[in-house]
Amino acid sequence: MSGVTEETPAAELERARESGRPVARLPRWERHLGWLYLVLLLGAVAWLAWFPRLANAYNVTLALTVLLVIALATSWNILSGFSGYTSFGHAGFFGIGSYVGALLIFYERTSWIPAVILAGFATALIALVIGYPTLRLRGPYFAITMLGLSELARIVVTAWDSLTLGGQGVYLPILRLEPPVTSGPLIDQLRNVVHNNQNYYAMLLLAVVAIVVSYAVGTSRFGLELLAIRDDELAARAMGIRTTRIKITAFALSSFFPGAAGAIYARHVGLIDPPSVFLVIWSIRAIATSILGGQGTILGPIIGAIVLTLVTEKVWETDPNLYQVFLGGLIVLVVLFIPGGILALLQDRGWLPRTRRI
Amino acid sequence: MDQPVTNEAPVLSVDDLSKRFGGVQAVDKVSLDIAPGRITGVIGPNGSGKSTLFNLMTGVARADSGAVTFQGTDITRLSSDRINRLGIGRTFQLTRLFGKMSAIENLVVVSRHDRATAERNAAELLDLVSLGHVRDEYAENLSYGQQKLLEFVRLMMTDPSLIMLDEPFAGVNPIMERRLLDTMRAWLDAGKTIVLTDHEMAIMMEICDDLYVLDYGEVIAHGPPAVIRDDERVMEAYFGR
Repeated sequence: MSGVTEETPAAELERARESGRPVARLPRWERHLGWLYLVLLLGAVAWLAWFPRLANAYNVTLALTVLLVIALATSWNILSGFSGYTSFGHAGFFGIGSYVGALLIFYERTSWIPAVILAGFATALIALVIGYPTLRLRGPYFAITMLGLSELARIVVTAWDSLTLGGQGVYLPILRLEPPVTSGPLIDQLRNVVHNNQNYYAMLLLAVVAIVVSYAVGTSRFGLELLAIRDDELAARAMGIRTTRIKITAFALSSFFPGAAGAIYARHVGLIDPPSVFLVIWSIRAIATSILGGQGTILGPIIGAIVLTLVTEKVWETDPNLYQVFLGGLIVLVVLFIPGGILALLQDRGWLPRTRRI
Repeated sequence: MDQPVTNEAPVLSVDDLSKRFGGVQAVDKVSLDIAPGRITGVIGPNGSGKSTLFNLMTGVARADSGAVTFQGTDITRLSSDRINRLGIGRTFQLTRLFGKMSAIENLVVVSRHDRATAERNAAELLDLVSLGHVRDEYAENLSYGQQKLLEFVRLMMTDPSLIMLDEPFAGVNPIMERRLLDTMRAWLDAGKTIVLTDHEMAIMMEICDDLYVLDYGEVIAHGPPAVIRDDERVMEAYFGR
């Protein structure tokens, strides 16, 4: 072969020797990590299920907010975290979902559980339809388009007042609370707590479903395909990965949760109007939470939701004006200094096992 | 010149393919036939349109006019994932791996088998090219040579019948070059067809059965290496300026 020089084989050998360095191979026990996390999840769910029995109404609402943000961030992560297609659409889906749920209850007297589920399917269906044209746009173009479509949804809901009652908003019947039952058979006490905290339990269930779906995606080949799209979409396509189909599927999966969460939220607050549910802050919270915790991972958005919601609540209590400055500053600091988020920080310190799968 | 290398029907034919980028005619009415079970080379100076031609043939870029036919199917307007699923696999001039995925995940993700089979095939392929010890390492952390090999075996995961290699020898040292050549020989033995580009004349002359020479997006010569070697226009394209 022409152009052969003597140094290059030696250099290659050197590289080969270098590559013999310890490799981040998973220890055997980590194969069982999924089970460990499942036990942790079940423990957390059991504790959260009992939580309304221990806490006052303020803390139950705070916990509901944490669960809402877990559902939003975890679902946002399914498309945007794994595939890198940052979406500002969650606010739009949240708003549409809360209106679909509220109007079903208001006009059709639909009972609230089917209303929540239908709201989720409605937003997933919308994502299927708008995903085909919008997911052809790369990076910032997709982000801006989703921001625009969110605004468009708000304007349509405001203007279409014959259906949506426009700016005056939709009132929902208030949940009639039963007097607390603190003695007698445990099953009666439980039924009483569940009845008085229906929205909380609905949000808990939704957050758990979001986590389970995120886990299923993150550990499946579908999840790998999303990561391949994030790393090099052109190569992924050229290797036969059906990128369009995969992105749209992830988008629809991801959009179910803000829709259902919006409907639960509508019932929880009892009154919704366009400015309060089509708030771009819902998208920003989902994004900031995922970035803070670690996007493209399963645990990251959960960690981020707990930390960010609790910390911002404390800041909010101290000084409501400081809150937005704090949120903005925090995101900047995280992006600059721990781009992998809290999860990566914990993994770098060796406090959590390093496995991207979870 | 212009005699077919074999009498068999070509696996892939390109007819009058053209592509313009702004004021540059990158590919200009190119026609070529790829003989089955052989190595066909596309050579030409830098900027002669080799990579664009590859992109047009694999659906990565859209042709302005002309047609590409693969095993009787018109693939000119198909997307690159569909073309790949018909049996055309390719590599890129600069390796394009999934950097933040492990070596084995880079293979598993493109497989069309179930997860267990995919992982078994992937592990076997990694061992075949001595990358077994880095299977859980991020692709972006591998050395250049290892990345090249990984891209080669990723190609094999989808078992293409036609393999297109865009400058596989660029920046590769002699040991790696041998390993790539051995892999290509194994593909030929398995009945696959190979198309490759390179501007390294010597190696192309040695390994190709049939050569097309591109210059300014046009085919200026075609034939077996022995004929190309003596072609005046080729010499002029390479050394004349």
